Amino acid sequence: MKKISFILCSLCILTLSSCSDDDNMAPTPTSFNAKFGVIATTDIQSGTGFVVPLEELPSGDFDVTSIRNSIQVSGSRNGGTSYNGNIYLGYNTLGENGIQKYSVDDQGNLVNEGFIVASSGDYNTNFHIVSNSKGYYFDAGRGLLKIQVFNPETMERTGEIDLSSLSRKGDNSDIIQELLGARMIVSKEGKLFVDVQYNATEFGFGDSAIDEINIAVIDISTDTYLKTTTLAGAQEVSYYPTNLNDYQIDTNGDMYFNTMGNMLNGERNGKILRIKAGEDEIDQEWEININDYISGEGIKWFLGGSSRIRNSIVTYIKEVPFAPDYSNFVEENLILYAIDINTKVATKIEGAPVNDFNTINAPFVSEGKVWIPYSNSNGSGYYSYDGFSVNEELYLSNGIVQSLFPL
Amino acid sequence: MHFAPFIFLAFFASLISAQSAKIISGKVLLSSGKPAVGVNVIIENTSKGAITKVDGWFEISNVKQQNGTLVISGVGYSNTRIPFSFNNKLRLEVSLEIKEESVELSEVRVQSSASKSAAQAQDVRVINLASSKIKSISIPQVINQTSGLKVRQSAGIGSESEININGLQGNAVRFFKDGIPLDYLGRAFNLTLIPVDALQRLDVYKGVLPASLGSDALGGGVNFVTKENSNDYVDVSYQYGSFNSHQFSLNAHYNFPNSKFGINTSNYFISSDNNYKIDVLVPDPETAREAPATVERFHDGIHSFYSEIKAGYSDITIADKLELGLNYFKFDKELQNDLLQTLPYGEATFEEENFGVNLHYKKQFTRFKIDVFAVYSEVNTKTIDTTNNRYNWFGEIERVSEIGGEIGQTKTLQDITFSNSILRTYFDYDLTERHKIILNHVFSSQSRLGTNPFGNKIVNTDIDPLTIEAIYRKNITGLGLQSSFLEGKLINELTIKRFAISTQAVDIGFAYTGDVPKRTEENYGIGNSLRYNFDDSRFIRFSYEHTTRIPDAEEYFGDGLFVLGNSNLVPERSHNFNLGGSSHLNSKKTAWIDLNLFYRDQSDLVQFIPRIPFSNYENWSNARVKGIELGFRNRFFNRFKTNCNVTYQDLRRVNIDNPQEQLNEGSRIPNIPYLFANFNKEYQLPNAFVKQDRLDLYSNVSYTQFYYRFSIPKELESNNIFEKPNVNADQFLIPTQFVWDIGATYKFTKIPLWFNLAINNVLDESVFDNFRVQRPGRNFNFKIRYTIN
Repeated sequence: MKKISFILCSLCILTLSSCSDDDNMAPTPTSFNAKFGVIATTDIQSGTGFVVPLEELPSGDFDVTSIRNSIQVSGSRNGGTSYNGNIYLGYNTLGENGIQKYSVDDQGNLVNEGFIVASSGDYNTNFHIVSNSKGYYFDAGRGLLKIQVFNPETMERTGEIDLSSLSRKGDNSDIIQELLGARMIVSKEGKLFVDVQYNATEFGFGDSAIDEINIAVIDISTDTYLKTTTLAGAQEVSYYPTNLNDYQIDTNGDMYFNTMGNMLNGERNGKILRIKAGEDEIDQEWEININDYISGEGIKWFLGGSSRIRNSIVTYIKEVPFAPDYSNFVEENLILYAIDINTKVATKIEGAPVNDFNTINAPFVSEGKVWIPYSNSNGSGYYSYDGFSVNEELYLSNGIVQSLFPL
Repeated sequence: MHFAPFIFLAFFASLISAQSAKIISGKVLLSSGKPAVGVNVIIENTSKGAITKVDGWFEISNVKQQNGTLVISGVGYSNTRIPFSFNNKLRLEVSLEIKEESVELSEVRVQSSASKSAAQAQDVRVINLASSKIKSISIPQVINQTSGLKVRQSAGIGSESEININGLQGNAVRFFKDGIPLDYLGRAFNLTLIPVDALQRLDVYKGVLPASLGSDALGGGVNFVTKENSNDYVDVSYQYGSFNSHQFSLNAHYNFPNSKFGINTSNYFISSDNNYKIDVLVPDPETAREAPATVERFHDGIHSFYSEIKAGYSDITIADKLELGLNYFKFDKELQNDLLQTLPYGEATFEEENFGVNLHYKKQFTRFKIDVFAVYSEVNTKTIDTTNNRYNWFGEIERVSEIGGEIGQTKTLQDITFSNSILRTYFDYDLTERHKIILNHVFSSQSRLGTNPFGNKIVNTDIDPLTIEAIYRKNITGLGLQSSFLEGKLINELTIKRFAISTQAVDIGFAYTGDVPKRTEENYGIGNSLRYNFDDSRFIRFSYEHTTRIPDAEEYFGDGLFVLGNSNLVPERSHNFNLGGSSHLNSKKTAWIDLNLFYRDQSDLVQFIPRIPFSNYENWSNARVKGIELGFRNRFFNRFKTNCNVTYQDLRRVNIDNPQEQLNEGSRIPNIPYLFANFNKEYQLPNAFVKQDRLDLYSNVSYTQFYYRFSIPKELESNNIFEKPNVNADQFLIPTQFVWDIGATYKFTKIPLWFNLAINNVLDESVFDNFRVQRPGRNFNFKIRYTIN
């Protein structure tokens, strides 16, 4: 009996013992030349996935778990962006809102360079970097009509711009909530363009109290307010680079941006608008209206309506309106089109894969091509389109690519 | 239905072998001469038995055998075995005596089903709480000392909790109080709240839920068992501990002289500041950069009060019990932080108040028993989160926000009343001496009605969805057949259940035109438990169950906030296999070993899926659970007691058909420990300080291997379970933990008074639980208990 007792107790003790540390090999010095960052979701339920720096885009099926210089994050259904070779995300490893900076060391490993805490109440934090030492971000906790200023080098908040003067609550009793820069913060020609929302509820979307969009213009050198440009007949500026990346400045200096209309009742539908190069006013004479491409009532907006290549806007169009409860949000019916800027004629881009919107869908323009994300039952990845043909750039049969961005 | 021929053959075989029925009756007395009330008298190796009434009388009818052994047992009493023989008579009357076991002598006994009731074939862990009542110990601590079980808490006393049974937790596990589904009591029986003093024992079902428990659990259940028929007694205890924790408990029973009328009450009051220290990251108010700090939780206080009064008749002509009960519960809780313990709250609170009335009737006829329980209760909950103040971890108001409340992006003033009606009807019938049939039906209805002036409205309307009544009705029928063969050595229990629900509710995304969508669902489950007793102390047991869990109302219809309904949900399903046994290791029967293997194959598990803009519940994953539990118990000279156990459970996602999720094939299900162990030691010192007084010393060490906070692909795991996965984020792991608790109880012989001092987490280790939320460090508790019998 004693023997048995001894064996059993030994088993317990063995179980209670801890393990030894790894005998890690010393890393071999290399010089990692990071050119791309990739964010991929591996578990939709918990939102966990990976951030991976790459020297080149892999050919064939990319297995994100085989990359040893990746870092796992729990808020991977968001995008990323870069500045001066560093990676910036609107959330940290745990998925908390804020600005997370990673550098890439010589071994290709991501190095935590700091995290600025923000409370946006949104999917992640909207931020924009204009120089080595200056960037702007939205922090709802610090003020809804304020833009926060930070130093991307030291990763510290340095101040704020208070535009409480833009409040219209006194003039319009329908307005419950006013937000500055919750969706758009972008710079062009030394000026900062920041959206102003006047909402009838605190819901977050589908609640614009007025049928117009407003964009405040700020002088970056002095952080002073210059003006507000408005356009009637449009609602809800779309999302920032680490979400849908729905505003971009093209090689000509024109800024195209997407508006979603009323996202809850479809009484106002999506439009693509622009601010031309050298100007700080929304072009009142030009728009692309989704109602010209999808018939019938309902919630309709473009997906990725800000990427211009040659003389066309490249964007996904969902074949049917969104259901009122968005139960058809993820469906394989998003088709890629090129819409001529002048004639507004939409041409289906042959060879482009159908998209189901399981990715955050952040297209970007680089090297004379539009890089377009997709996901569907065959996998996910990015295609490029140069105005003539599409080319597969990245493919994952497992996991979902949320974001690809140049470093 | 393949079991049908077997059942009928078993019936006929037993009917053919049936002999003329006899009756054995008598009185069970205590050594003091008083009647022993509520003790079990069972004919060994059969399912025949009875419970003594207020005068100690029992009667077992329809006895077929000529001779055998009566086993008399009960909590607080020493087991007694008395042989009997009819000697060709038809009626036998006996007088029996049972010794009261000093309650402090009994250990925290984790009995196998063999010692509890020869009739139970299921894998049920009966956790006797008799000795826990003389310790400053909580229900989670008691449960965590049991193999295969883990209570998961989101913080301290009164926090959200769930129990993990062989890998399953959350909605997969159902809770009962004295066999009745617990929903009608709200949070009154929350595991982190209810004191051990309020309960007699916990029955934890790891495999098949018997027909008598009417619920659709996917993988087990917990039955809180309170003290039933009783002599007069008063049991009072008070506990004071760290973090300004107070716990007062009063339980009493009084039988009116010369009548069969009695009154029983159970009450507790608990309050705590829960202001233990935790390690957090605190953002600088100016730079917004985080810095580590150790802070005191400052808004996690709880006040809770529960009272239950039952009055009724026992052993009258028309009923063995006819009892009316009232219960009241009040719960006020401050809310401290978010799920990941990253964001502090300073003003948000949760309140609950409920009131219930119930009626209980039961009667044992010669071969037939009926037990009816009806209850109506109203549970009112309030979530209050309306402040604009934003607090830092030091409890200071750092700023005033213009948006939302502390918890959500909109303020909340949610006031909901759940109206619950439950009718449980139980019958059993002795078909023969060896076969008993059980029929149990539970009808339950819950309606939800409330308001939240800050909540979202139904799309394109001004209607608060909570103002439209949501109804969730269940009809669950269980049919069971208990059989014994081979002179009681082989015991079998077959269970068939039918689950039917009807629900109706609207969600915020519903195109509301005045009609409320309805849905009905019907499903069946079957289970069988088989046990072979080698003798009275060794057995082997096997059970299989194919069960379903019907999605809850919120899963079908959303929460009226950001969670939408999903009318396409189908019930979860699981095939559960369980193989286990127990044996003594020496002839003196002072050392025991328990071994249990389990396997679960689950499909269509319902999970919360974050979607944009609205989230919902979906049939998301399939899982496979394999596990082993090994336990060892030893008693040395009746003074040293050892209890150690190890559990390894391998929970993994399997059969993923969504190509975008394939990387999770075979991955561990996160946030559930997979390797844990417990080592418990007790020592009794008689004649301590004063002759005949006694001092008990005890120590418990629990070990939990690190586990995953979030999902990690299997390819990144090491083959060595003690080695961390190849993930470049330590925050993805919940660290390995050792927790050492010690305590001492002093018992005065001349007065029924106990004193206990306990120190939990002696080494002041950092302890983590759900999603790595931190638990208290070293803490002290003092308890005094007084009883009058």
